[in-house]
Amino acid sequence: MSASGSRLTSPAGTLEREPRRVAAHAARRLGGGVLVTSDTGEWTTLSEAEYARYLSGEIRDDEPIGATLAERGLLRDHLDFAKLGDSLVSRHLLSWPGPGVHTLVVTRRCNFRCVYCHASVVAEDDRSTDMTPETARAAVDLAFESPNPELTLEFQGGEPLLNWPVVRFIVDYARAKNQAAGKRLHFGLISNFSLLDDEKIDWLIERGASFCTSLDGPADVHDKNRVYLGGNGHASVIAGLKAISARRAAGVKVDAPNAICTVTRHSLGRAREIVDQVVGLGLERVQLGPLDPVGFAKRSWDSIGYTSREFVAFYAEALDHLISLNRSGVKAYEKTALVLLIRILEGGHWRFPNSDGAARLAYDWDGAVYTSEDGRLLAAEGDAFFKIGRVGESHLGDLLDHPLVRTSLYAALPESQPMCSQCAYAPYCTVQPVYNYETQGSPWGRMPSNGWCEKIMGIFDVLFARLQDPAARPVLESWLDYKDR
Amino acid sequence: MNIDVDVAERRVTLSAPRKIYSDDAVRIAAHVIDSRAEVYHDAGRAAHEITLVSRRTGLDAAALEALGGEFLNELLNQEYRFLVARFNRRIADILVAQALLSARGGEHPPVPPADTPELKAETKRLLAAAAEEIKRTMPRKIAPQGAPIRVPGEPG
Repeated sequence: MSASGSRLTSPAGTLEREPRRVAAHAARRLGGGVLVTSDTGEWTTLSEAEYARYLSGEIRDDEPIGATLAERGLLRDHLDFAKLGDSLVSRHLLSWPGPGVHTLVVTRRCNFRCVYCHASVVAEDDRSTDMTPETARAAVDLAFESPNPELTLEFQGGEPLLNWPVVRFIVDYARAKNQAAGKRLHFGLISNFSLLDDEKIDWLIERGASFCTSLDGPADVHDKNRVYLGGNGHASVIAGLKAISARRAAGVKVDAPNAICTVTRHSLGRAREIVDQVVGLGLERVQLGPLDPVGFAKRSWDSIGYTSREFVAFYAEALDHLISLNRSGVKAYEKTALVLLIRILEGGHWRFPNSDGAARLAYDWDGAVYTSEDGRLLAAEGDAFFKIGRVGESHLGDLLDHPLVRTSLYAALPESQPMCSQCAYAPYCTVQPVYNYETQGSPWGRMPSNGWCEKIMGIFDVLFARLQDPAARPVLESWLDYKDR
Repeated sequence: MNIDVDVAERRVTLSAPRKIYSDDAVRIAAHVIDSRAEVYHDAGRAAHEITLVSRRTGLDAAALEALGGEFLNELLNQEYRFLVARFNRRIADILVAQALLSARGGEHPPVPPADTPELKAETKRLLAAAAEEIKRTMPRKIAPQGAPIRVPGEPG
């Protein structure tokens, strides 16, 4: 199956002649068939002829397809309201217990000058943007106000290791504080690894931290994107990844390191090589992140940007290669695909849902609190629209009462958005208020011409097409095993 | 809806029927395009008469026309959004209220435990240690580089 025609997903001319049999649904023509989805994310694919019969109320209960439609909540006279209610609660985060992911920008200093970096980094010797231990303490105190029993404190920058004493303070203080709070506490270092050494690795591992870095591809691509002022960026990333993986292989308890590939124009046409490099390092998680014309990247868009269609073509090639590797025995998955597959195949969100303010928060070096890291990055470019408070002054209740958090939640609801409200992919999708604001002037965006919407719909098209492929589907289903790792 | 442009004045004039487009939609669309154009609005009996003056200089007629088109797209988007929101307001309000209530811990959110004397003492010690480490390790221009990472099984 491949998508064709308009990005509006509900085919025209679908007036119900027998509404009692036809439940509320959205549809999208994919290749020769029609994908039919319900508000709660149940779905099936029908041929054009079957879809016409479905709309006419002609499909009988005793046909195999009738049973499928009934089971998936697509026949109005067979709706299971208890099941639908549970599903809505899960999909809409109605039981989500407060912000779980807390991104702490411990400094804006950086020793890299990445061509797309949004972060408005400052020079290594300019310590004016280092988070102080006192601000860090107030940030941790605020994070611990969340009722979420699981907290992840992520260290971001700049390059967070340039303010290593404050990273250490946060870890030690949060652990001390957690003795009474008793939460499941995680730490994540997001770093270019250039300043990582054995001592820091072991110190962090002993305290249960995980590691994440950027690996944009083979050396020529990586170093073109990520310019290291002090040496060879690609080599330092590879050395860091190998060092952590070696400890893991030796039985040390640490999560596999993550290496995120930010796809730029330099990556196009190199999808297989990029996947091969990650898999060749023994990493099971491949993560292909699109570049957005947001923040600093907007300035360099002419030299590194691409169209949404180019990204989707790249993504499809990478995914197909990864599926093919899986079929030959390699164990690896793609992160975005996994997140979406959980929503498509299991009907829930992963543990890190993308809901600004209510599920995650970002703290800048100066103690300003933003609805998300993207909102913080925008502030670094001079627009603090998404700032909702300040550590030491604001409590969690104040942040959740901020109109921007409410706006972000409303904007995230397909029920509130033109085009989303009729989109077949709405039950699995999330909007990006910061992207919308920066590219189209409001957190709501304008979906018919929204580049992120075009990209994510393209990815959904690719995934649903592969789910129809008997060779690819078992591989994609097997990736669900990674969700708890 | 006609779009007229005046290249010399960087001006786009257009009108939109009031029967379709509300004042609120015009205001929001004006805010959205504010970084690119000054927006003047004259609410006539039958139509909104709107003038955009581009903040950028040197735009040709096609670019000015595109600016006008962009404004009209945003106007349509906002009006359509109001329509969708009116249809679904009740469910959207319930979903957002419940999500916010849940995020703060329900009707009776748990109270975080108060800092114990031991935690207070430990906090004081950690703050002092961090301050000392900052003073000791970070006056230099380049942050301390660690020893090269050893990869077990590979030559150092």
